[in-house]
Amino acid sequence: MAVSKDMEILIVDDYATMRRIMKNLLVQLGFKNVSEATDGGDAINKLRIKAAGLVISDWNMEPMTGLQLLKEIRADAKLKEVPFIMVTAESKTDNVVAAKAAGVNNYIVKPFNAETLKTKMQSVIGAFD
Amino acid sequence: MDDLIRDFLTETTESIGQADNDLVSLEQNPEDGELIGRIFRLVHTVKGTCGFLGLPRLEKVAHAAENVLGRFREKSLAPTEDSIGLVLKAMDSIKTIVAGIEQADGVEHAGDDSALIAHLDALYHGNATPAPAADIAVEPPPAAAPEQIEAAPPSVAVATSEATASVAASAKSAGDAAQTTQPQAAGQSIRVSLDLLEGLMTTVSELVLTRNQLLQALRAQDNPVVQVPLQRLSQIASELQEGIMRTRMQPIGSAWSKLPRLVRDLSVELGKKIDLQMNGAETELDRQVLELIRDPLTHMVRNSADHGLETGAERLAAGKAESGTITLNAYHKGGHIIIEVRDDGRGLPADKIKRKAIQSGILTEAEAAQMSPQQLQALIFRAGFSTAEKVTAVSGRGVGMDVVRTNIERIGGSIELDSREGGGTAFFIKIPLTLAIVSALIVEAAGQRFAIPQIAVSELVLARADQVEEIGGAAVLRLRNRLLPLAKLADTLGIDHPVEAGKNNLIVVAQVYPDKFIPLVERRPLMLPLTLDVAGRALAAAAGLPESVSVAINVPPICLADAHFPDLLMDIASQHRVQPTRITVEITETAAMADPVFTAAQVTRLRIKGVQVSLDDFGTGYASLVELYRMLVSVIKVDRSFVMKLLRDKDAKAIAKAIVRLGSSLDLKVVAEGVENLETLSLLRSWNCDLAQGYHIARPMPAEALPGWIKSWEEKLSIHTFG
Repeated sequence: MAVSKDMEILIVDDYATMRRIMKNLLVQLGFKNVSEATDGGDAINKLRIKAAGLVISDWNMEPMTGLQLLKEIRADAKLKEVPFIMVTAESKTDNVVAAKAAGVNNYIVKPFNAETLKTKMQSVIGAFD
Repeated sequence: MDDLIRDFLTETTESIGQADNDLVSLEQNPEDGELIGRIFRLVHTVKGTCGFLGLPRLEKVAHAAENVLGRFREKSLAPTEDSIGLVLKAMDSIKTIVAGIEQADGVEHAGDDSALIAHLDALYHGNATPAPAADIAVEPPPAAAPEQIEAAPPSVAVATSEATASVAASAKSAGDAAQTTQPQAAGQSIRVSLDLLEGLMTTVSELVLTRNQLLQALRAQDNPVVQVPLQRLSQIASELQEGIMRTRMQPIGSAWSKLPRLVRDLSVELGKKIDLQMNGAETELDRQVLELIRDPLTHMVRNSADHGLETGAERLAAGKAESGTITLNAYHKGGHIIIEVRDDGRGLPADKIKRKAIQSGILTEAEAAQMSPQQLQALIFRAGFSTAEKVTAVSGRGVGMDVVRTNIERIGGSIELDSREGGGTAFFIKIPLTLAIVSALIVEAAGQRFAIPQIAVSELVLARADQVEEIGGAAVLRLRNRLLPLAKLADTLGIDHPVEAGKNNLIVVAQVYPDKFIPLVERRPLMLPLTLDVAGRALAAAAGLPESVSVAINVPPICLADAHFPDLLMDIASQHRVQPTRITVEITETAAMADPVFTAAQVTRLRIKGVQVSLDDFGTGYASLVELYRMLVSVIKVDRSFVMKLLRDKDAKAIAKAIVRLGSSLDLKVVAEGVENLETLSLLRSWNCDLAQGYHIARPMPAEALPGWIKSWEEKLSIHTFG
């Protein structure tokens, strides 16, 4: 299935600079519809209003961590199918295992470039150029 | 600089400021897991973002700090004063690096953080006892950005909802974790540049003015087609104005945010236990006012910690709790904001102040006896008054509370104090909410109206004809025996107008500070009366002093250019019965060289009358030796720019030495100005320099204080001579 560059992507990060970096990378990859959420609760609200084709979320947030957000999404009847990529600065095995168990589609460690992001995204949503 | 990096720097500055304060709180509540989590996250995010932006130096320091914080979080390492101190050093390093990036337009400065990182790593790996944090030198921030936080691009968080903007300060007393303020959810605010806000403010002001004109013009017309939309427009304009005004408001907590860290460091430095309590951090005031009170507040908190609070031992002996408390309160009261700075320390000792005031000649015994303890305590607002037993690194340089008061009064505020000996001191600062609305006095000149800010108006005087005099061609007002120079508004503004006799008797008396009035005075023929007035005061003060005390008067070129100046000066001298030989007229070298022939003639006139003439700032102008010789000056002053560098700059030393030699071989007295330490004084003495002036000898002081100072100086000298 070809991936449309018009798909909705939601970035979740409580750090504005990081959201901008992520958005820049996605725009660089050609995606036009990128929205942002500033924390887990905001992300849930936004997803309920408008469905997304992919969620890319930071792990390290307060009060709801990226992992908790993932669990809430997977537990929600309407949202549970949405692909989810977790971003983190730590690559501890425990964390990866916990995220896998919670149903993460892929895992990406900071810092990364557009190419790495592309590879990870393709493994989740399918090929695009 | 890249926008992204700029945003990152601003965000990081805020994060690290927050982490700084959280670390200080953590020291008091080492068990607070939530706090540890938050600090960890802040530092972790900074580290994580660095990788994207190519800032490896910052990343390494943040990473090392994060590792230690990670062990706090896992509870495998206890947050102690030493370990927290080390992480605080890392925060300082981060601030320095951020300031460097800011200055270098987005590029990291090279720098060596290896010692710091090694200590952090040692702590992280747990195989070394942490060195006391003070051992590690953290590179000071680049000189041009002493306040790293301010170095970030100016922007203000604007709350788009009714919610109060987030409060950066998070002071709390021991064990009172509930007081910590939660950072506001980022989604409710956006960043807007200050320029944009200032621009909006100006536009809205214009809109309101135009509306007012329109209202006035159409008031007469009873036309509903116009009236109804006009009223609506009027209403909207008012709401808009109010809304824009609100965007300029910031919680005072943002001016307090650095205080927890400051107090923590002072506490370590002074060896006193200090609790800082802050209430009302959410109280909002205009950001312009906020900027202006930031420094005075910091100064006052320093003062309270250093002078106000006793040592732990003294407190215990007095039956108080060992740790002292400094409390900041902020609240609104009738269009003003009140800020209280309280300590529960020793209070201001009225007796000691009284003794000091008498000793230094500020008060006579009789005057002092009449004053209440409150009046005596208020003397600390006088220039040059400090009760500190010794000058410490923290405060006590005698430039304290008078500067605070001046700064507060400049923005239309006032400061009062309430102090009980043994029971602590409270300062009350009252400041206007905003400088955006300014009450003004409307005056008319040359058929036009002008507004004078009321802050600047001391009083209005309806002058009688005999109160206005003329000195040297310039009008002055004699008010309660003081001469005040008069300036006609229309002339000052350069408006052409017909002379209207008899209408100029309404006088606005204004307090103007030297940085404003000197340029004004120079533009008008007022320099001469002003110089003579100052000379008169100096000579009046000198009259009561021993004959050996001479008076030096700086004379600006424009006065010296007046052929009558020597005679006018002599008149004043004889009025005060001061011998001309006690007077030295100081002229700058540059001024003297502007018209050397005339200057030489004036100098000769003064010398004939017995007055000494000194050539100031010598070495900075272009006086040739021939001219110096012809000029008949009796004193030359070595410019401070050479003297202050004497110990470290061999060129400055050579020039200064040559001037001293030149002076003595021409039989001139040589004065070195800008002597700030004993080493410089000794060196000058070894060259046989005749006189010295500078902060090492004495700071500026009021004339009343001179007799006291002379006495103590003579005592000091006799010790030096015989001891």
